[in-house]
Amino acid sequence: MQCHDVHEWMSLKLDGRLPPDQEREMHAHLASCVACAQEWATWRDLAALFEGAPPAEPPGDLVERVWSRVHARPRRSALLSSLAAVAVGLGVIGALFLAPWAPICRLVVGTLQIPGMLRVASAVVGDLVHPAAVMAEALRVVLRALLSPGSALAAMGYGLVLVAALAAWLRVVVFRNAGVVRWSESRLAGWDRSGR
Amino acid sequence: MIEERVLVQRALAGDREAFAGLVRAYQGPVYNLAYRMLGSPAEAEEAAQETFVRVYQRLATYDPQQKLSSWVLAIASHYCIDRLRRRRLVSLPLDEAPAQEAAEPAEAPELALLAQEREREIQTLLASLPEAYRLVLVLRYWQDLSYEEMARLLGTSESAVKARLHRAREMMAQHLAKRQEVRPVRGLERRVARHAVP
Repeated sequence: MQCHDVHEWMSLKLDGRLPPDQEREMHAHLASCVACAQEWATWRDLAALFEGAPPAEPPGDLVERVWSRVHARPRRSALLSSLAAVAVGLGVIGALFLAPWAPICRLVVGTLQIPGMLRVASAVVGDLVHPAAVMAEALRVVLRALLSPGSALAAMGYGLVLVAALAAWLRVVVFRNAGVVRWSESRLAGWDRSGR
Repeated sequence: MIEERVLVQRALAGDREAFAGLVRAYQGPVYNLAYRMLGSPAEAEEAAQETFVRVYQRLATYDPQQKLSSWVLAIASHYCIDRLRRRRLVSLPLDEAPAQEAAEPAEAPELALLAQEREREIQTLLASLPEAYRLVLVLRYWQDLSYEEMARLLGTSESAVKARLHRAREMMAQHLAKRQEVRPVRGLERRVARHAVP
């Protein structure tokens, strides 16, 4: 019998899952192997330490705190979150592509004979949109410079944009809703095997 | 079990008292799991609150065939592992998990000191393990779950749970052995362990 097998049995023994015949074999091995006997003493001490620890008391007002948070954050479905993420993405892309058209739109609005309040409202909206359009235009110019074909930066730029988009999509749509433990499980399967 | 289903149905219909009943029923296990996983009462409270907010938001997706306690603890476990991963990303070393806050003054100061020391020892040992190994130990010792229940909760096999517990114990023993090379503390650990078991 190998020491590693005995360690497995020691673990089962601490969980009350070791059959009596294997327990006898385990104790016989411990009587003749100093290293395993020391390990067993340590494991038993650890088990005693954990079993003797009293449960921690939750705070008395947990229910009220949870309830106030529930009301602060209304129920939101995974579908709505995903749709919101897609809408924001489309909004940014749309702003980038429509930015060059902003001055033309202002010109068209200016030449139209729009009467009274509507004219004032369109001017206000135009003034509000203008700084955003300028910023979007600047961002567009930078992106175009980064992604211009033939430059050494082009490949890097494309790669960066792709990786960022993929990471954002994974973070928002996949991991947020699926949790992370499932991802950890596959990695752990490898660890479990390597630890054996 | 039937009572739980009724509580879930009523909570889904917007009954505040029913949801409060669910929180009261599971606040102990959820808080304990979070405390042992994260190592500080403040973080455990935050995690317990977030777990129950998620329970409320996902109540409609709960499958009544599943044990409610397992479902709630699975949500808490996912949250704690996620939080630990984020903590690791901001490079807080595992051995430096937040220290236990001062315990309530007990009748005998000597006993209180010993209890504090024991708590610190437990949290240091747990913090020395990777999250998933810490989780199986917490489920085993503080939630008293069987291999089968742990396997269902973690979405893995019983043999994987068995292997993970075995490995966790080996890692903790190695951690202790490594520490003894630096400073011999065996005597202290023995005293703590002896006091832990009446």
